Order: sequence, then C-alpha cells, then structure tokens
Amino acid sequence: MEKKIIVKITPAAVLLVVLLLVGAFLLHRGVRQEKRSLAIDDTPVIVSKIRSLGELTTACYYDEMVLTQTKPNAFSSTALGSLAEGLGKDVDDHLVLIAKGTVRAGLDLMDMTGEDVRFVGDTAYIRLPAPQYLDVIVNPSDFEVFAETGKWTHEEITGLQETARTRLLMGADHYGLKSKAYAGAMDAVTELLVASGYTYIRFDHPGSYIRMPIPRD
Amino acid sequence: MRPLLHTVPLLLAVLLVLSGCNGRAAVEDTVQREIEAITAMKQLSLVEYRVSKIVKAEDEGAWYKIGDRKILLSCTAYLKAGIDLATFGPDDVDVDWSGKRVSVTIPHATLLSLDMPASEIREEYDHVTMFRHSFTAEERNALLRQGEKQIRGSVPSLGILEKADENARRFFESVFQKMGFETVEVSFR
Repeated sequence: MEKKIIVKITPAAVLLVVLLLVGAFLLHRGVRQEKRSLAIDDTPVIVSKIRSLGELTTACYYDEMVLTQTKPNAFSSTALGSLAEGLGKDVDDHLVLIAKGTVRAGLDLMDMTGEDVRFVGDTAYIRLPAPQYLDVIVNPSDFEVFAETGKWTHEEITGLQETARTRLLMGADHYGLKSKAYAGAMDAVTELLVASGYTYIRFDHPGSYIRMPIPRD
Repeated sequence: MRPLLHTVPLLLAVLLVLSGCNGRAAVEDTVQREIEAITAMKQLSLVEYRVSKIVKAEDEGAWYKIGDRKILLSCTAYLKAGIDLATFGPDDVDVDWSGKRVSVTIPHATLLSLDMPASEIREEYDHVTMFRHSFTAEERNALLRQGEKQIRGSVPSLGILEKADENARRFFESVFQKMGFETVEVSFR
C-alpha cells in the first residue's frame, strides 16, 4: 500500500520540483534583465543660467571614501529583534556607499582690480587674490552602492552623499590644497608674463613678496 | 624535537622580517597616496552653465510582474568650460615691443568640470504599485548616472565651448592691453 502511494507521488513531486526550478531560473533571469534594462527617457537639458568666469585652477585634490549609514527598522524594535541584537546579531538597516571625488582649488581672477596689477618697465607687480576652493565634485558616477539593506528614502540617500563633500573639504584642508594652489598660480602667472617679455615679476602677499629675477634670452 | 626547537626561532625571524616588510609597504603606500592625492594643473575656467534636467524612468517590469514603478527626479548640474593651459608655453606668445603688438595662440576651450551636487537632486514623483519593490539606492544612482551621461553628451549642442572660446579671446585681449600692447591678436590652435 505504502509502496503504491510513493510510486504515485514521485512523478508529481519530480514535476513540481522541475517546475519550481524552471520558475526560479526565469525569475532570476528576468530580474537580471530588468536591472540592466531600466533606462531613463531622453529629456532635454535646459540652460538656466550663464555666468562668465575667470577662475584659474592650479591644484586638484582627489580622494575616495566609504560612507555608512545605519538605522533601526521595524524588526529591530520588536522583542525578537531586541533578542537577536542581544545575541550580537546585526538587525539594523545599512547603506554603505563608496565615493570618490575631487576638490579643485585656485584663484578667482575676477576678484582682481586694476590696482592689483602694475607694469613698470620690465617689472610686473602682481597682487593675487586669496586662493579658494573653486569646485567640490562628487557626481552620481562617483558613487557606488556597496551594501544596502532595508528601505532608504531619497532624502536619506542624498543626505549621506552630501557628507562626502564635507569630508573632501576636510581632506583638502589637511593636505594644504589652498597653499599649493597659490604656489601653482604664481608659477602660471610668471610663465605668462615671462613669455610676454617681463624680466621681473613681483608678487605682493599680505606681509611679504617674492621676487623672481628671470633672465631675458 | 630538536629540529622543531631550531625551526621555531627561524620561523619567528622570518615572520619578523615579513612584518617589517609589511610596515614599510604601508608607509610607502601612505607616501604614494599623499603624492597622488594632489595634482598640479593649469586650467582657466571662463564660463559656467547651470543646467537642469528631468530624469524620468518608467518600469513596467517583466511579464510575470504585476504592476509598475515610476520615478521622476529633477537635477541641476554646473558645467565649466575654459582653456587647459598645460600645453600653453612661451612659444605661443609672439611679442613685438617696439610695435606694441602681441599675438597669442591658445588651445580651444574644453569642458573642464561637471558638478551635479546631490543636494540639488530632488525626487519630484515616485509611484510604486503594491506588488513591486521600491526604487533602491542603487537603482536611483544608476538612473542619475544615465542623467549625468546625457548632460555630458549634450555639451557640444549647448554652445558652452563657443562661449568659452569667445571669453578666452576677450580675457587675453584684456590682459595684454593692460600690459600696454595696442594690438593683440588671439588665435586658436
């Protein structure tokens, strides 16, 4: 009797398993295809403002970092969640991003007035504006989502992404990017003026200046 | 037992040497990192365009999925164009002090930077039906990457490079006139 039941059930079970496997395969392939094919529409790019610039970028800082955000979820606030947490299990939601970005530093030459530049004979007197961070760039293509569990709102994601900019600026400060940008700007201006035939270029800093005697060939 | 007693100090010595090597490698990595972290450059940004774009995606899903998902994000990007002065040298300036003439040859303007700040990306609309899952951070970022790519691709048609060339000509004319030159010729390579 038992043997007969097994004989009857087995073909059905095999068929069921095969169907489940085929279904799982199709589902998996479908999900992969869906991830690949999610494309945006080709919408126009609208120019909303045009601004003339005179920014001399002379130094660039590059960094990569890991950004992590954790928050409790519905399960972690339950008794079971608390128990799991007590046992050392991580039940919170996580969002881990890898970001790379750049800080571009230099001078805004638009800040210079007529009084900041003087040419007397073969000497140029230049008072350069203070160096500054001109751009802090972390674009969507600079982010990689390394781990993501739970549901994250747009505001939570962009909030975490924004911290990358703050950290980039801290890194740029640490490496003395502004002073390097200033030195680079002096080199660039010197090259231009020497090429134009000036022999001496004097930079006036607050409290000091550098004199660069360059022979005219 | 004796060979083992001899082997242990030898192994320890090898480990010490290896750990020493690792330490040096770490220091070298740090130095290398410091060198690579900052790059010198000479770029003159002459115009900035602020552009906006709607990133729109509709995901009806595969045949076995019930319902759909839609998302609408608006974003702003700042494009800067100008001259890369890395290739600009003394040979590009021809000075005639007696005639108060100068001719300068500069490279054509290129796109120097594209900044699409996260703080200026807004979610305008997000609709997900019951049997579908929400847009993940990875999916959102993938959509925004495509938006960034489309903005970058639109640069030739925006007129930003022509505007930067025009500003470059004005900039160099102004600089050399300030130096006392009466005739300034600016040409592009």
